Formats: sequence, C-alpha cells, structure tokens
Amino acid sequence: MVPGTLDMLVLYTLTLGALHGYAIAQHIEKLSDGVLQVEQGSLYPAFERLQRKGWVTSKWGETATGRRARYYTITASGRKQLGEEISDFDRVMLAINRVMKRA
Amino acid sequence: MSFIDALRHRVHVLIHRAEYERELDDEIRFHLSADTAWNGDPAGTRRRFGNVTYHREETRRTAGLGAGDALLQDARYMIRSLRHSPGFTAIAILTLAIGIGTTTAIVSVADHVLFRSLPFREPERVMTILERGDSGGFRAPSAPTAADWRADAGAQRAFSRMSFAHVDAAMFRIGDVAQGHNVAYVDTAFFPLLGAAPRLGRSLVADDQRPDAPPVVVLSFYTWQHAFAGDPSAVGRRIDIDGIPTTIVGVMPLGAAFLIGDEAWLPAFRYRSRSMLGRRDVHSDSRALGRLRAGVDSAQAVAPITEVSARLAAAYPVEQARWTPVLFSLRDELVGGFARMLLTLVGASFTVLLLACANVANLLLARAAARARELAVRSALGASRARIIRQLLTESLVLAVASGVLGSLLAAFIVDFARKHLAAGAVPRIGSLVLDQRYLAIAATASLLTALVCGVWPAFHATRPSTGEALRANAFGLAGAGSAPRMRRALVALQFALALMLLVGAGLFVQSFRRAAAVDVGFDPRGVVTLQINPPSGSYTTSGDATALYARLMQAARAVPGTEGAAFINHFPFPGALAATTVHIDNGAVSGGVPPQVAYRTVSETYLQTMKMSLVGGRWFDKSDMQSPGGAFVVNQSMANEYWPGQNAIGKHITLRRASPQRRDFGQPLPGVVIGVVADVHQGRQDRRPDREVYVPYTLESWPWGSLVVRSRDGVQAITALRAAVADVDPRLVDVAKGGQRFESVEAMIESTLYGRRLSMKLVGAFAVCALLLAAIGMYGVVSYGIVQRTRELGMRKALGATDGMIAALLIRETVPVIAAGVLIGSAGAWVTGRLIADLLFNTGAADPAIYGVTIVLLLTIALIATYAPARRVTHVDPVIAMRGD
Repeated sequence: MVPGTLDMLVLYTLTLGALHGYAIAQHIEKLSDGVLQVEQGSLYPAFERLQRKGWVTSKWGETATGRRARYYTITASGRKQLGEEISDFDRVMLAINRVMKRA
Repeated sequence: MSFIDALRHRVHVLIHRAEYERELDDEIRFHLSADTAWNGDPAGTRRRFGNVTYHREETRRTAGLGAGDALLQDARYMIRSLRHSPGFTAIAILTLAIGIGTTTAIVSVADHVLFRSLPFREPERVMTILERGDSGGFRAPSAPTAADWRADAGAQRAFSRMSFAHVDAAMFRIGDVAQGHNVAYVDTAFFPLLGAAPRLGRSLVADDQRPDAPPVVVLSFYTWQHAFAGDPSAVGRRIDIDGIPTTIVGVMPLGAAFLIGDEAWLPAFRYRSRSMLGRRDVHSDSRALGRLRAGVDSAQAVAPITEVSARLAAAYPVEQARWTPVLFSLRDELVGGFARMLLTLVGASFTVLLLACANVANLLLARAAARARELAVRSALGASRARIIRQLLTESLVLAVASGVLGSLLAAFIVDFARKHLAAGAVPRIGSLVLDQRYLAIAATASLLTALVCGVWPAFHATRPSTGEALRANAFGLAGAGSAPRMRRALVALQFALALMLLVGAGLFVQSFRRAAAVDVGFDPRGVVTLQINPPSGSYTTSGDATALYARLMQAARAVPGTEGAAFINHFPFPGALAATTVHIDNGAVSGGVPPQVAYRTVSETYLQTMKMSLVGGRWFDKSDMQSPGGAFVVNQSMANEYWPGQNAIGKHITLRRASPQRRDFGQPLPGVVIGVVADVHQGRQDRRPDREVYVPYTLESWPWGSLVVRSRDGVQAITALRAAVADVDPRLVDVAKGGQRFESVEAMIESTLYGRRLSMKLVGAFAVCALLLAAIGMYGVVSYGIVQRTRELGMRKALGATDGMIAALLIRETVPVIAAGVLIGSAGAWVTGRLIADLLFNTGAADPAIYGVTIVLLLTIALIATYAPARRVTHVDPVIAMRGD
C-alpha cells in the first residue's frame, strides 16, 4: 500500500482518540473489513513519518492491564491535514468511481 | 509543522538514538505480545506483523538513522579489507600522499608569494610611476616632477593619494654598534597610501613631518630582528641616526618592503641632502607612488599626468623632453616575475597529482574486478547498485583520508624545508611562509577530490549489470579483452603522455639553465674578489681625499702576495647597481636630438687588465689619462653599435654630464673623445643584453663610494690578507660593526644570479622524475595484473605449446600501442606547453628536437623495463594449475 494512504488511515483512526500501535492496527483491519491487507509492521515507519511531520505526538502510558505502551495522539495540524487528505482521497475515489461507472 | 521543526525532530532522534532504539524495540515487543495475547497464535502474530527486522530497519531509516549506520558499516568493512591487502593499501596511500603533499606545498607557496605576502591594502591598486624615455629605458621621476603631478587636479581625481620617497644610506648607532642602513625618506602621504598596519607601535603621521617635531623612525621587520632580536620593547627606545637621537615609534610587518630602502622609514625633512631633491635632474634612488581611486584603472590614471609631463617638457626641455610617465602595479613589480614560474610549478604538481590519481584508480579498478564475484553475489542478494557504489566510494574515501593526513605531513615538511633553504632573493617573501589551517584545508579538499576522481569511475564500472558472467565460476573468458583492460591501458597511455610532457618541460629548463650559465659575462670572474668601499660619513668628503683613498687602497692590495691586479670602479657590474649620465653625441643626429642616458663607470687604469676584459678597438686608459684626466672616454660595444653603427667609434666627440652624487659640480658638462671600445660586460644578469656604458677615469669624476676589485692567485683565500691590508689604510672600511664591508667573491655573486633558474630546473626535474616513476609503476601494475587475470588463458597457450619467451613477447607486443599513444599525445601536449612557458626560457627554442628525442628515448626505455619485468613472471604460470579451472 502506498505510504500516503496508510498515513491517512492512521490519522483517521486517531480522530477517535489516543491509541497505542496495536490498537491502531486492529482498527485499520476492522475498518477495511479485511480487504486492505496491511502488514502491521509497516505502521511503525508510518508513525515515525507522522511524528516527524508534526501531525501526531506520542507519549508512553499504561494500558488497562497495566502494561507500558506508547500512545499516539493526533494534533491540530494533523486534523487539518486529514481534512485535506480526505478531500484528496474523496476526489480520487470519485474519479475512480466515475471511471468504473463509465466502464 | 515547518521544515525547521522537522529538522529539530531528526536531530533529537540522532542525539538520543540509543533511547530511541530501545523504545522502538519495546513498542514492537508490546505489539507482538498484545497480538499473541489477543489471538493466542504466535505464528499468526508474526505473519500479521511481517518481518520484524525489516520493519524495524524501515522505521529506523525513516527516522534518519539508517545512512550513518551503512556508512559506518561500509567503513569498517573497507578498513578490514584494506588491512588484509597491505601491499595495495601501502602503494595506494603512498602514491596519493606524494601527489597531495607536493600539490599542497606548491599551492601554499604560490598563494603566499603571489597573494598574501604583501601586507598592504589592495596592492594591485598601488602604482609606481616611472618615466620612460623615447630611446627606451626607464628612470624615476625627479622630486619636483612628482610634486607637479601631485598638484594637478586631473591626477587628484585619478589617484586618492600620491607620495614620493627617496632612499639613501644613514648611519645607525645602536648602543655602541654602528651600522649603515638604507633609509626611505618619505612624505606625509606615504603610509596612508600603502595602508600597511604596523606590527608594533605606529607608522609616521603628519605631525612627525614638521621640522620641529621630535625625531622618530619606523623600522622594518628585518632591521628590528637584526638589531633588537625581535624584542618588543624596542619601540620607545632611542637610537642614534646620523648623529641625531631618534625614538623608535614602530615596526612594520614582514613583507612591507619595496625594492629599495627597506630597512627604515624617516620623515622627508630628515634627509640631509634635501637640497639635491629640489633639482629636476636627479633621478636615482627615488620612487613616486600613487594609489588608484576606486573605479579608475591605470590607463585612465596615466592620462592626466601625461598631460602634466607634456607641459613640463615644454618648460624644461633638457630634463623632461621625450620622457613620458608609465604606471606599474607594485604587486607586479614585487612578485610579478615569479608569477609565471610559480604557476608553471603549480601546473606541474597538478600533473603529478593526476598521475597519482590515475595509478590509484587503476589499482581500485583491478581490485574491484578481482572482487567481481563478491559484488555480483551482493547484488543478487538485494544490495542496490547505489549501495555498492557507495561502499566502493567509501573505500577510496578511507584511502583518501589516510593519504590526506600523510600528504599534509609531507607538505609541512616541504614547506619547512623551502623556508629554510630557499634564499629570499630568489623567491620573494618565502621567509614568512607558514603552513596554517588554510593550507591544510587545501590538502583536505585535494584528498576528497582525489577520492572522488579515483573511486567514482571504477565503482561505476565494476557495478555494471553483467552479473551473470561473473557468477559463472568456470568461465574461460579471455580476460585480455573487454572494456576493463582497455580502460586501464588508456589510463596508462595518458600517464605516459603526462610524464612525457613534464620530462620535456624539465629538459627545456635544463637547457635554458645551461645556456644562461654559459653566457660570457665579459670578464673572467675566477679569483676576483671585491670590496665595497663606504667611507664613513664625514671622512673623505672632498674629491681629492676620496681619490687619494682609492689610490692608496689599490696600492695596499697590490702589496699583498698573490695579487695579480687591483682596480677601482664606482659601481661593480654585479649585482647590478649603476649610475647613469646623459650623453650628448656631437654631430650626431641620434633619436631626434634627445639626450639619451648611458651607464656611467668611473675606473682606474688597471681595471681592464684586472678584470681581463677585452678591448675591441682603440686603447684603454693609461697612467697619463689618470694623472691629468679630461677628454678621454672609453665606450662599450653596445654603445658603439647603437650610436655609430657601421662606423668607427674611435675619435668621435661626445659630451657627458657629471653625475657624481653629492658633489658640487653635479650636472656640469664633460666634453671628450672616444679613445677605445671594450667588449660588453653583463650588468647584473646573464640573460639580458648589456646596456650602453661609458668609462671615464676615476680621477676625472670622484665618486663618494666605490668598489675595490682585486684579482688574486689565491682567490678567496687571499681575503684575510687583503682585509688586513685595507685595515692598514683605514680600519673603519672593513670594521663590520662600525659600518664597514666584507670582501665578496665575484664568482659567488655570478652564481647567485643563476639561483632562480637553477631552482626552477631542479623543481621541474623532480616533478618529471616523479611523473615518470608513477607512469612506470602504472604500466607495471597493468601488465602484472593482466598476467594474474589471464592465468587461464596463458596457461592454455603454454599447454598448447607456447614457450615462455613467446608469451613474454606477446605481452610486450600488446603494450606497444599503449606506449605509442602515450608518446604521440605527450609530444603534442609538450609542444603546446612549450609555447606557454617559452618566455621563461633563455635562448632555448620550445620545440628543440634534441630534447624531444632524448626524453622520448628515456620514456621508451623506462616503459620497456616496466613491461618486461612483470612479463618475466609468466614463467610462474603453470599450465596444469591454470587449466584445472577453479
């Protein structure tokens, strides 16, 4: 999967709240209904990218079961980016749909 | 988030990388355990996650930690592999170190001498203003002329400042040691014009120029070193100058020197013969300077002063007619002559560096070819071409760093050696050369560039996509063909071409030096010594006293056993000082009636014989000419040829003007007739045609100083006895502590004029030898490597019946086109560079066939040896082992 799309999916997931890496992976799998096969490991470069661009911040915290995990939160600029990205994505999907419909 | 913040994040990660990696590991571990806990299936976890190592590395790479890793890894690997082949490493590093070291040293010297050693502000804008006569020849303007120029409004628009300085000797008494020094008497504008900041204290200011001001002096760096051993407390001390207690107010930095009067600076009014400067016919030992305003070039600046000179020519026709002002940049004057030579040396050293690079490139290429299989495997395992290239470049980088360090040490050594052993006269300002960080930066840049040059091309070449071939272990490929060996041979041909160019250059310099050394200077210098006679101030001031002194000195010298002759002359032709007089040719329509100038020599009647000069026509002076002088002159061949071409100069009438400085009858006409013509004596240099000269008896025109010339059977061994003899007449003349002089060997003087040429010859020769050696090594390497690579092929030939001799002949034959190409290209290149350096040579044609012939033969011999030596090793090729494949 193109890194850009993965980034967007992560951002979208994080709009629901702060999550740790595994939770984000499960969410994305659920979101796509198993259609989008993402190797869970490829999320980690995405997390790094998102942090570097300032769209996401991270902090170590405790899970419900008391284990240490790193939690990611979307930032304001991340939300803005998501807004832009979604509109891009929509545009692309719209175009693909139009093409499909035509075909 | 902005770019800056992204950068900050990266830097933060880099700084805390250990922590970052630990946290990443923790996070991934958590992820895996959480998934296993959720799904209860460890294998499934791994499958869902993907390759842990891969993703972790991807994350690290995204964070920017990947590249540094790879570089470090490559470097470690490279260092290990270099350690395992010490021979290769040593040769590569040594070769590059020599190239880098010599280049750094030469560039440092050139940079220092040409650009940094003049501690003035913008030295290229400081102009010396001389006058050029219609009959050729230059002279310094008189002080009134310089003042007239300065007063002109047009000149003031062109020059921001103008200054005039006159140089004369003054007696310094420091403690109880008296020494004569050349002093420049300068005006108010002098120091501001130069813009040279003093090293200690201050320079002269306007207030110092007032006659009632306290006497002050500024010393030069050398004078300060010599008299005070560099003691900083010298500033403020009082010394005695010509009897006047003077305070030292400053010391100028090293290099703040002109060609005359470098030793100290005094305000103009201190000059005791100031009245002389008011005359329009005094032209010696002076200098007029001007600093160009911004935006004005020398062509624009010379126009207004030319106008002034035209008006002066009308007002003072005798002194000024047919003399036009010309501007010379001070920088060109002080170092210009060396610019061409230094740049030639820089070119030569770059050539050697190129050769060294070519050798190392060849070595790297051979190495990469040897590792072809290893590289193919890596590439098959997934290493990108870029990664492999980067790795190979890292290897050449490691080599470059090592040779850069070694080269810097070599450069430091060379520079130190140069500073200690190069006489400052031959290379100006070399004494202040110091290897500082700037030059080490040059060395570092050179190293990096060589790394790129040597490494890039072999790296690209070795990673060409032809993996399949290399992996086929049993290939019987004829390794003599293919583009790699072709490239290596092309490199070797280039090396030989460059070596030939340098050899021819060296040959030209050798020839030039030999021709200069062989020039007949016009007299026999063997066994001749000379003593400069500087009568102490206040003694022998009348012409009668001076003449008598010189006569007594000659007599005393003659009494010393071994003396074959003793004579006197006002200015000995070496090292080249002279006085000039205006000559008027009676009944001569020479140069439109403009009085030309000739060199003026006052001599004893013994001079011709003592110097063993040749008389071309007429007669020399005899005793009666000395006793009642008047009316008899001798001219040199140049003067006779110029003024009376095709005629006999004997019997012609000319009128000279008295030119003895500080005598009351200066400028008076001296009519006379030419009684003899002598062969030319070179004045100061072997490589310039001698100027016109006229000789008069020393009793006719008494000079306030001069040279005692003695020819002795014992040569320089006689100096002790001669010195004693002179001391008997007047001990102050030879008492060095009190301003006296030493006897000098004339042969040594003449030798030293060839110093520069000899030095250039040696340096270029050294470069040429280096180049030839490098080219030979290159050829050796290519041939012996070829043998190793073609072991199978050669073994096959042997098995098929070829003898060792036949195989050796085959190898040698293959190198013929290489050498031939090298010789052809090299000859063409040598011809081109010969034209470029033609004006540095003396009496040597740039296309001298003898030189080309000798160097080509030398090159061919070396090339043959370099080919034959490794070719002999074919005897070690065992056909059985070779045929076994591997």
